[in-house]
Amino acid sequence: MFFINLLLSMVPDKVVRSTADAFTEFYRVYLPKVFRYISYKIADTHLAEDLTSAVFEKALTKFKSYDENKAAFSTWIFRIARNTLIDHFRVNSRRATVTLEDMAEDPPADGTPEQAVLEKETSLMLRRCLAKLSDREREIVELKFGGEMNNRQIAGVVGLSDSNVGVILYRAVRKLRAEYAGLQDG
Amino acid sequence: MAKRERPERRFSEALDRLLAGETVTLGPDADPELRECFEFAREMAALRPAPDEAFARLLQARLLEQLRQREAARAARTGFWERLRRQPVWPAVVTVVFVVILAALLWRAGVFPTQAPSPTVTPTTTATSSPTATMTTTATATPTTTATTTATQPGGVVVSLEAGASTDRGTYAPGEPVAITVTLANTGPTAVVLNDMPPIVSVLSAVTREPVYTFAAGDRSVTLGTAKQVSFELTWDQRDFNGQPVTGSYYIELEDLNYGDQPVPLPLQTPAPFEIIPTR
Repeated sequence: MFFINLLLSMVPDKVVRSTADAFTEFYRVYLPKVFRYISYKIADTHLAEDLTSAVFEKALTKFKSYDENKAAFSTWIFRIARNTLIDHFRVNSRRATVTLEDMAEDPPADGTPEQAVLEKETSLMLRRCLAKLSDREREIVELKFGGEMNNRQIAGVVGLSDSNVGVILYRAVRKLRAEYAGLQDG
Repeated sequence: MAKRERPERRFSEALDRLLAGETVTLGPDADPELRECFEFAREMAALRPAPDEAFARLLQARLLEQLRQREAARAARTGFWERLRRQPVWPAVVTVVFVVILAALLWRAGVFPTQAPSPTVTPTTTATSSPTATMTTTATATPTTTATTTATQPGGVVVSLEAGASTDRGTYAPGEPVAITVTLANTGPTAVVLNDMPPIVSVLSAVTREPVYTFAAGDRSVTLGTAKQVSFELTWDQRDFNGQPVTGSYYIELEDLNYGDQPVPLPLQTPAPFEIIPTR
């Protein structure tokens, strides 16, 4: 009996270890992507961190029931992220007023204070340009630059063909560049 | 003459490599506009925010602790007999022993005639019910679908819910409101308190199997006694996440409920289908 108990008691530890390892690897790959994707939509860094936490907590509860036959990991996690954002915007729709100045909070600032100011200014201008894109163009740009997804993965999230995604992405970046140039000139 | 590559495709490929951390430069044959777009994309990529390291570390530690607690709670709930039951050989051994003991007791009680003792005893109890989930589906003529999910929560509370979803019609003209009814019935032995009602409800495209619209969870709490049910009415205006009207074939899905920090899935075996038929 002791021997059987000993053998059986080893099973849960093994399961915990392998699940923890898998989740750690999943977290390492997807945390930056999910955070960037959310940061494109949520300007406030702390709120973006809270929502990123919520996404991964939901992912944790569903992690063992994830079915790779239903959707790729990237599609699965970004679907959770999208739904979390939808919930957030619904609940907070009456008080979700973030100014563009607030939105330019967090460019990476590795250099001098002057560089940081310049990057903040550039980031603010980019966000202004992004705001002028259509919802679909903006979503694709956010999934590409935030989620680092290839066109096929983006197609799986937004429901378009991957060649369509490529065309819309290129068109959107051209628009952004033109808008950005206009802002610089103006 | 070599076929010229489309700039959109070349742009996407170069951008994917750039975002993957490669050093990418476009060749001299690249179209000037493509080159300018790519350089602009390079600048955008450099300005992307990164998660704070302290935040990333703390969140990882918190999530792994949650995972550890969850697994520990599951292991604690799984007693010796349960673990024994899960071993592939033991259920058969236990069943045979049980049947032999039962037969012996019945024989001693004189249930079997002594002059013609029965050579066999049919086991009627096999003790192989799953502790985690059972599921039944009833399909009806109207676009309604239900499924029952049973889950054992911490503290041994058994939550057994039957979830159903239906639409008021099977087909709609563009613009007609789609009335969705979601029903939750408590089929378990005890009353349950459901928070954040109504649950999160998604309308998914039958073609892409991706959600086109999602209703957020509500903020009501509902106490459901045994054999009681509650219904929620939702109206979809046929518009997707972007506010654009859509047509085509769709179905309903319910997201998991959170019950005592544990997810309780609300599966719909045959999700309620309906169509929005475009007018000609």
